[in-house]
Amino acid sequence: MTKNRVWITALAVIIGFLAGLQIMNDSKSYAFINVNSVAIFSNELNAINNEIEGLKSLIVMTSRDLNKYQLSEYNSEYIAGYLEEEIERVKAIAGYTNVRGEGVLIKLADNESNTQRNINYDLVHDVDVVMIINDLIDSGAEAISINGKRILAKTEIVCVGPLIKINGESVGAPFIIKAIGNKDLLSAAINAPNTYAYNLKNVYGLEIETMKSDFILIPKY
Amino acid sequence: MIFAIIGLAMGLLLGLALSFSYSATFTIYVTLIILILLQSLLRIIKNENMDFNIYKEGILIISEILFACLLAFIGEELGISLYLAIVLSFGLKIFNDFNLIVKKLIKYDKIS
Repeated sequence: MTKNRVWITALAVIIGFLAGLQIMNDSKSYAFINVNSVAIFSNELNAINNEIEGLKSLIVMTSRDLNKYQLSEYNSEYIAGYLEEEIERVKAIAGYTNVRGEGVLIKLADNESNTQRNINYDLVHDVDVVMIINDLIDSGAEAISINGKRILAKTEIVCVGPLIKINGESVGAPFIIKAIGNKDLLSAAINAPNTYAYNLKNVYGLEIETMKSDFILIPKY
Repeated sequence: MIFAIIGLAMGLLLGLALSFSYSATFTIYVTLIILILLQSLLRIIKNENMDFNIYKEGILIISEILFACLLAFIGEELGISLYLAIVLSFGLKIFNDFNLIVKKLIKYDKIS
């Protein structure tokens, strides 16, 4: 009997020892990884590193601006010139200058064939125009106008019955959208499969035509 | 049985005191070994009044451990959690033995 007890105790000690090791091993901090997750993590790391690079270059740019301001403190002529330069730049961004360059012309018109369905499917709505403008801006358009109305930061595109109100003026159905930017990218934003304009054209049957051009003039507001 | 509890407590303290760490890959195998040893302990406690042959018990335990680890390893290689089968079977055995021991302790015969 005493021999039994010795063996039982020994066995119990071994079990307790292993259990204690297992508890202390803290295997929660380990995770099983595979090639996929390694790739994901390295991508994340690269993205974060790129972001850091971008922030660093932003610091350099901002400190250069600061230097310019500090330099011009001692020279009143210089600061006037610098501020005028800046006014030009800000005006161009805000849309108060004429812009010319390569870009695309887009014609957006109602479906005029006789389809036996709800008339609303055949019309160009304000939402369609907004979505197309957003696609263009997303593809790097620097300036946009609709029927000669310049699109500004404060521009509204609102439905007013059969017309659309842009910059407080009503605009009628065949819309000519001019956009300046990389012409291939802009044209792809309209014509690539599964874009909003592509669906308008091929599902709803609206008339959408794009024309790439090397010289487009967009008037100021 | 009191020796088993004392031994478990001692071993647990020893294991907690030693900060010896191993790869997470071996976690499954250590778990299986713990399970098998626990089952053997309960089996021995269950038949405490009988004398047992230590060599036969040892061979049984070691063969069980080896086979369980082999099965778990094959499962890992094939991508199936085969060790769950061992966990299940030994878990059932452990529970059965525990049940019998408690019944023996409280002199439980049947629902009267």
